[in-house]
Amino acid sequence: MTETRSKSPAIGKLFGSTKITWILLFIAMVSLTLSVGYYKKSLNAEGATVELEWPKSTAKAVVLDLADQGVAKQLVQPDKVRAKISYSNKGDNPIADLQVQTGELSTISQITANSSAFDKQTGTLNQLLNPGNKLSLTLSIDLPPGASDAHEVYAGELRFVGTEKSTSYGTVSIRIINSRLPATDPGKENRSNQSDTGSEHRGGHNH
Amino acid sequence: MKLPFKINKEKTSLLHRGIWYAVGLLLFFAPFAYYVRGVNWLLGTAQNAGVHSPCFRMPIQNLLEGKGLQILTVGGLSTILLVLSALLVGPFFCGRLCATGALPEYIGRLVPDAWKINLHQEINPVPIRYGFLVGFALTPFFAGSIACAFCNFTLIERLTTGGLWGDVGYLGSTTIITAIIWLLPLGIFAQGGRGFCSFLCPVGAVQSAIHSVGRRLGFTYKLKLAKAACVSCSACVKACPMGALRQEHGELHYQVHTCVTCRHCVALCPTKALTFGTGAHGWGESAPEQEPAVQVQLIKEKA
Repeated sequence: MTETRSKSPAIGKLFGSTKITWILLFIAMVSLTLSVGYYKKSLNAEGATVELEWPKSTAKAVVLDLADQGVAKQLVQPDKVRAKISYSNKGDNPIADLQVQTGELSTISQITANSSAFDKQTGTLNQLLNPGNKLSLTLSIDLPPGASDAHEVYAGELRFVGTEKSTSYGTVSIRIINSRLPATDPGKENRSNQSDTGSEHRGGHNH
Repeated sequence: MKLPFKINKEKTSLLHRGIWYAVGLLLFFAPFAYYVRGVNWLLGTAQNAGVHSPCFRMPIQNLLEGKGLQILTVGGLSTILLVLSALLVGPFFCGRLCATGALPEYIGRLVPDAWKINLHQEINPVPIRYGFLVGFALTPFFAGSIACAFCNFTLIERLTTGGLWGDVGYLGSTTIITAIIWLLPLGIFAQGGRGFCSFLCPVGAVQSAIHSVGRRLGFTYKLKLAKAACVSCSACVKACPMGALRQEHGELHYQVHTCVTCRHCVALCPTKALTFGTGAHGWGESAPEQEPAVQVQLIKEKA
């Protein structure tokens, strides 16, 4: 460190007055932060957010497009995608033994929750999900090498079940595509888009 | 001015602070997060054991969005503790427990000074810091929350879990950008290594704002200066990782709005002109204090 450290900041009296400089820097930073917010908003489609509300809406579909990834993501970690799932109990009774089954995604995905009562190895919530409560889940998918070299990258389903009574508490179908590459069979793509299970979300807000 | 005892004092202070930051890592960050586990146990809750649960950013945004503050949660209790500690002892979390702020500072000490930018000398961090805080609070009303997208707290968790289990987890574009800014230009290549703390941490900014008020009260702890004892050696100026101290026209200036009260300057002050305690802060005051003045004389005699 040198003696220069002991001087006032160089951009201290840029406009003749320290106060004016202070105010201008402050306003510039507020504006920059808001711009950063818009930048982040533009990247929302990098991940997806789905909300399930038992028993009202129990089936949702998500499409994650790798082409929506930002430059930084594409450069550093393009093969790891994420979906955030919020599962709310809007019913009158508590949900016991809720388990999230990743099915065919199990070998390449990991699911975590905002609750320490959630066992991520088995995907089981080891406590009641009481009426009005919400379980926030994050599904991270590691795409196998070369998987993103096709238009249709991966498809799978997340199932919410009651382990004891084998009750279905909802499903989220997840489809990963790479729209930079052409679809090999457009007819097939159209058919798979016609989801009969519920609304489809393409990308979406990530927290 | 060469101070032969400085190196030992500096190492001792760094070690002392380092132990605190290690405790902070164990308390707040996954996979340890013993503070969260403890509060969970006390409240009978089951919040995720990681830095997300006691996060101060989300409660700030919830308050601003009119969602209120749920006190009996890890986040609610942590917010209250943080505000109280900032009022009574300054930004204690930043200066003693925040491993996220400490990591680039400590790694940065291995990087030669010639490779570093003295950001505090180039630009006043205070309007930037508070500008970011205000922008951060406003974004939910315009573009959506950036509380998590540009969070550097989770990055240290990722580094810890990545180091232990080789998996840093999902990285979004904004997380990657934050990591680069936090560790490189505002980290190890910034003088002091705490550029992110100085310019872009809303948690630190809130604490500094509270501390700037709290330090005016006699019973609170603050950085104090005994002007008569100061020999203008600039040891404190050089030591401050936040650039909160500067020497100008033979006088020591203190910027409370960027100080994290890490007390590194106190440890290195050869004349004990800088102390941390209760009472009047002494900055801008001219009351001479006899006892440290005697110490100054002794040091001058030694020299």
